[in-house]
Amino acid sequence: MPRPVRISFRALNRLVWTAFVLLLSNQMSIWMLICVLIIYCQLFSFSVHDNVGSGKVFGMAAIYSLYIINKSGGLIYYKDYGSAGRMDTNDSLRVASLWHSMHAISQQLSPVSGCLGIELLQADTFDLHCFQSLTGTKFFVVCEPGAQHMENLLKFVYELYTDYVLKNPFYEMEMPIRCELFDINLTQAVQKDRVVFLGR
Amino acid sequence: MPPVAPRSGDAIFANVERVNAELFTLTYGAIVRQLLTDLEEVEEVNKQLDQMGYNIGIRLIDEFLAKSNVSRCNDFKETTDVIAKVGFKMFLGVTASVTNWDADGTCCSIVLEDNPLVDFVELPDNCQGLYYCNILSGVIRGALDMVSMKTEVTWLRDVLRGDDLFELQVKLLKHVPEEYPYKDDE
Amino acid sequence: MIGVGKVKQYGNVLDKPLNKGKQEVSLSAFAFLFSELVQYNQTQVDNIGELERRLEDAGYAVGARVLELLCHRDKGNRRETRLLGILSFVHSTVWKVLFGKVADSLEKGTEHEDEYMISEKELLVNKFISIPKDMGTFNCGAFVAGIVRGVLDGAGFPAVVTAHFVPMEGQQRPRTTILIKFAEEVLQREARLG
Repeated sequence: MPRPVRISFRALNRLVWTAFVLLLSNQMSIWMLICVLIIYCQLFSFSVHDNVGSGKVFGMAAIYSLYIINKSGGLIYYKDYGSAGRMDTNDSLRVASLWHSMHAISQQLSPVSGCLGIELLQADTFDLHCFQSLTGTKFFVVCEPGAQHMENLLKFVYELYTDYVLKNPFYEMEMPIRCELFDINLTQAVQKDRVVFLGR
Repeated sequence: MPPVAPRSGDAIFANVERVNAELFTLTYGAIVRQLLTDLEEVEEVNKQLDQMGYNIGIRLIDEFLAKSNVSRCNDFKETTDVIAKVGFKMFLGVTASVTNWDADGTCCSIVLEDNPLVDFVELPDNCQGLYYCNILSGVIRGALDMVSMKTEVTWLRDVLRGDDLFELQVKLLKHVPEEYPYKDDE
Repeated sequence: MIGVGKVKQYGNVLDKPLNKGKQEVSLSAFAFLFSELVQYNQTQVDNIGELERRLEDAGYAVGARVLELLCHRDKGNRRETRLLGILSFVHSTVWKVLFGKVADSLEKGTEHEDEYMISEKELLVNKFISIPKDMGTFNCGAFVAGIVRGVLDGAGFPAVVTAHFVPMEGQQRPRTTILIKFAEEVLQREARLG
């Protein structure tokens, strides 16, 4: 199976350049380029806003925030774990839809076919780990640079989602998640020492 | 992260929480009874059971993927194999097999010898047209729909109708490859 | 091909030997089925009271059958005739078979002579369910209340059975209490039997 793209900010720069080159060689529409540029700028400014250490509440695995987006790019769950750098609803919605597009574009830009999209984005002040289920739901976590075991955490969040969201008769598919039990279990999972995710 | 090997149906079933099959069987029976009372027509009940199965399928697929570590299936053949060998075992604790492939590999049968839905059940005379287990065909259709496979699932054999086995025919109508939904000219 | 002319394994479902009840399915399979039962019934009602009643009806059908099954298989065709006997049968035998464990507690109501309560910290059917705020005190345990009523009714102990969330001190989640209020005739008979 082809490996998903891992992307750093340097790679992101290259991505923008590639987009230019593709545009010049007429392989890419101007719209896609604009998308890439907007995403680039947005993510950059987003990283500037987010102070290092804002998520360092004791016990938490240095996670700043967690997002779940449905397969059409709508934000269905957002939770932040930092005191500073907290985002308002509009910003979180924007980050979600930007990430959705960015993820999709990365699949198309990949020189190797069968790319499943960006799995990790590393910036100076944060890492962004993303997990997409085969059904198209994306789970991503913004955390301290170098935070460990985030893939396992995301996989675990996916399992919680299948239990406390999908088995809840009052949850409507693709809609925002408002399930008390999901919140409770998620909080426990994030609060537990990160060692919990080591052995999984 | 290195790709994790898919787990066998037996291994998963041994590790998940389980309940007495009788609670499951009797609850399903209560659902069928409710539908027969609400909808009256057996044909309508068949449709509703299929719809309910579909609703379950579109949710259950995620649990299946999360617990089985199954990665993207390359073709329809692999997919049906996984449903029969892992899916049925992991949820219902029974083994199913795949047979009767057609020449172009788009249609096959899933055969079940044991089916916990039908314990205690016998179709009365006024329900002979009922596909009692129609919820199962709906589940398969719904689950596959979520991974971009449009299918048609029909019962070929049904023990409640006097056959020796349960046989579900799964026919692939269309495989919509997962791609970025926006096109350049849109 | 449809198996034309194939003979059924058993001519009649009654000829089939009753299995021991040791077969299992995954909890997930049950949870998805139960979730769909609730969702379907939601489409059939206008208010929460009606939803509760319909879930209770579905449960009743299960309870009535569980009584027959267990009396035949586990009790050699005998059934309880006394109030405490049937209550402990529900609390222990029925619970163990259906939910894999004995219920957390069985208590007599303090205010009314005819009331009994079976409580469970985490009712199996509620394990994955979060009730939306706008549904107030609704509890999917109505289904289990229906099962209990089905068992009691079938055994000749008619009662009104309801499910309630009861907040617990020091616990994040409330427990579910199944409240059983026996019909007057049951208590009268019980008094006669001494």
